[in-house]
Amino acid sequence: MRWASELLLVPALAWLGVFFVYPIGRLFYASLFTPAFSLDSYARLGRSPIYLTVFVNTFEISVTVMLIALLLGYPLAFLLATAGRRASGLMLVAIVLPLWTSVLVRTYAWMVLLGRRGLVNEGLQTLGLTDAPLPLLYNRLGVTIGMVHVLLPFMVLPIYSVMKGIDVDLLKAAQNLGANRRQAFLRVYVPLSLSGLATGCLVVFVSALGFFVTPALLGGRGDTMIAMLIDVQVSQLLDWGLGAALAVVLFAVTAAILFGVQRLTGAERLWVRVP
Amino acid sequence: MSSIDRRYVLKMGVLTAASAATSAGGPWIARAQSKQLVVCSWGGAYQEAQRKTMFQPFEKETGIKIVEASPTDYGKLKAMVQSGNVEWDLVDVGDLNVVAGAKDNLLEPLDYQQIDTKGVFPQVVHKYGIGTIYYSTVLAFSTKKYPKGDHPKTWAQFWDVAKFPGPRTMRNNPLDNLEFALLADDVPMDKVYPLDVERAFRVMDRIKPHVNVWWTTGAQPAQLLADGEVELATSWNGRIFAIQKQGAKAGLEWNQGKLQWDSWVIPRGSKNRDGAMKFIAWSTQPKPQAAIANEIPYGPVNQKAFEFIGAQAARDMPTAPDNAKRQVMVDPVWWGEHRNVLVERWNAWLLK
Amino acid sequence: MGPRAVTERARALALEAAGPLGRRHPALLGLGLATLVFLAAPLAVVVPISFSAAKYLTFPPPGWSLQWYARYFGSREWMSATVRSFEVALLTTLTATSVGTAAALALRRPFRGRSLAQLVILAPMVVPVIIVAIGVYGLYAKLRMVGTLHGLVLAHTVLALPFVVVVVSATLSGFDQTLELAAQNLGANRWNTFRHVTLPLIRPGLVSGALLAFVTSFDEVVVAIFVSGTQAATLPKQMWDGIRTEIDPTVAAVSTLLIGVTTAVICISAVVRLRAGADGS
Repeated sequence: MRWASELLLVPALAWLGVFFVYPIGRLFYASLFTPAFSLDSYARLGRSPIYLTVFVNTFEISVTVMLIALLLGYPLAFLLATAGRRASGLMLVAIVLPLWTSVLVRTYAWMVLLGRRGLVNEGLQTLGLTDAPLPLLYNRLGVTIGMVHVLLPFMVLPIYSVMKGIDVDLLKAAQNLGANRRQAFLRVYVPLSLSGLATGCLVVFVSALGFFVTPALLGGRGDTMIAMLIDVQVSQLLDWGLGAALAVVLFAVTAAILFGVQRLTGAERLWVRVP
Repeated sequence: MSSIDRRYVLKMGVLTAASAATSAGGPWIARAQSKQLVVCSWGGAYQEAQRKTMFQPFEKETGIKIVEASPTDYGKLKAMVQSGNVEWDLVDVGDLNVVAGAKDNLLEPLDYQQIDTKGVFPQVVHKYGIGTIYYSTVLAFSTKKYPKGDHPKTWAQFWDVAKFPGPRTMRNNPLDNLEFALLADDVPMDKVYPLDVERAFRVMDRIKPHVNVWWTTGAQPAQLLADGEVELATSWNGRIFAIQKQGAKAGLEWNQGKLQWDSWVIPRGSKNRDGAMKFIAWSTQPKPQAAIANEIPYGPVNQKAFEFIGAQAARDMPTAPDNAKRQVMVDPVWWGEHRNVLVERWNAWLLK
Repeated sequence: MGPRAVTERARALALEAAGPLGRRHPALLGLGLATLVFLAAPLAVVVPISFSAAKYLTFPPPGWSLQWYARYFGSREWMSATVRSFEVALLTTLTATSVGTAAALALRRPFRGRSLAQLVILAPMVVPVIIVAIGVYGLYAKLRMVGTLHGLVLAHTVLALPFVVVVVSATLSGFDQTLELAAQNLGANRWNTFRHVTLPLIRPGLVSGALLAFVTSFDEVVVAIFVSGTQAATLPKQMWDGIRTEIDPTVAAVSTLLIGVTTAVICISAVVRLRAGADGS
């Protein structure tokens, strides 16, 4: 009765089939049949400069967020992985609590913090670093800060996860063979942590591409991202052909990146430990 | 049955029962709806005033429960009616949307046997909608920055970033912008309609780089002025008044404002058409009209309400003679016809 | 030993004690600390705002008051949204945990098509939520399911399922299957084996997965914006509207409460994990 355990998959697959695969399939259909078959929706995407601008915006923001998250996340993951039990427990709380908090709550907090009379500006002025409030909100800077905040845990945790598995004896061995600490770190530790780094970057980048809430609330007119455009098409302009086409493009890009990276670096990439 | 089959069936049974239990709420929900009226309005201070002076008293008097929704969105309304998922029974929309909604066949005609229009300004009475209040879009400013009345008093001055520097917010919609652009370019108030769209957009190009935030909901410009995020704004007059009442340092200028009105409409396929009609009939009476005018300075559509409005409140109204004569009256028919095209053009323009 | 040799020996010992990675560079510690503050501080800011005595959102608050909490608890719309969120989240937890655990059990052993099945099950975690949201919205509009409780639960289960599967799978991978075989050799059938051997041992993972499913549904905002409509508005949907249409800090009060709920959930999860660790499985 070995096949019986596979039967246990049926509810999950059926559920996803009806409420995930089928709806997305309908989107594909809607983008191509409006109502007769035509590639017009996609053609319109290419014709108007708005869509190109939005794609470029989305890509720029996602890359920037990924890089900043990497710059902040890698050192933090390193500290987390090499800290004592108590310290790492506390640090994990600081990382996991925002992770589990609603993205809406976190974005709202940034709306309060980044205003011209918000805490950040008041702090900078009190410290004497600036003498007029900086525009930190409703622009690219605000969106980037907000998105980095939301996505940082997704960078830290995969890297930490891999780092925990690095055998510290390897570093000792390298040093015994004559490497100094910096060389041991750069040429032994970092390469071993690369798989976590790749996962973190992948997850952050792909998530950023599809972001909706944070850019909608923190961004300005030049920070429209694809998801916001999809929302406008579907709920205000009722242009399902175009909205679906945009969704399909986003889906295709996401899938291409995921599959591409998977192929290059091996499978099971996304089976990340969730705290 | 083998043990695996039993387990599988048990699981499926539980799932089916659970979903059946939740969907069985369906008929009960539907029954409850006949005793409830879903009203969608603009949120913020205006909807609060409506709640206090109209929704709650109406509920007390008639026993019909009012469920509120916000904010109003013409696109959502259209989506609801066209897909058959009509969730709103009564919607407070801008004047042009009565014209647009009628054209798009999205609205129920009003039953004027039930609704008494005695005293109501004929301008706002329409087959598919009736006015709720008169309001104005005006130039608003921070009194922290301009305490001595030295704020810009015309749109030409609002556009003058050299003389009046500082962050601004304007509406993310061609609706409350294009007339002001033309006025800023010295078009006389009585020659504004039909709008010279090309000219308006050219003028808008000049102010675009200086607008920090493009607001989408009524609460935003007032909030932005209050917390110093901007120093100049376009805003609906009642929202500024509301935030002044809370102690915020904001002011408004009636000169060259745009006078317009909101209307009640009933979406086609509304689940409680009768309740909606009842509410419209009730709220168009002089007393409720006066109540909301006393709460927030939006002008009543029923002239008889003025008997019950205090002198001070009457002076703050957009329709007060001193204020009205300095403003441009909207042309909802023109907008009803051109809005869709202009919104598309506006969205493209904004992204550039 | 001369002084030079002593200092060298001392340095070697210190290095030995610090481990092969040496002492942390103060710049590194500073950066790490700053990053942690960056992560945690915004949540802290929302809390004082919720107690503000001002009538509109202003920072710093001029005084303290519970008016926004009173507003929240006294508002029909906010309360029904809260109740609705709990309803949806609890039902989603039930469905996602049962369906997800079953799937995780099935995915233990390799079989043909396992990778494909894994792909489909994981997909909702990586596909941008907006795509799922409008896809489901389009389907629901046709089936008249917009604004229904069961519609939300069905959609949220899709989003919560991968999380449950990942967590339970992780737990199962540390689980010794020979225990199951032993039970079966002693005469137990599959169901009893599951109930009395497997289930107790994977319970911590199950609870973690269930909590994750709960939080995923409770905090979910994008699908709710499209699908919950007016009748079934959830708390995040209400907050989304509130942030854009209201000028008062009621949203801050709600946010503070949500942060409290999240903290409670994390604590429960941690306690469960610790207890499981203590039982030595």
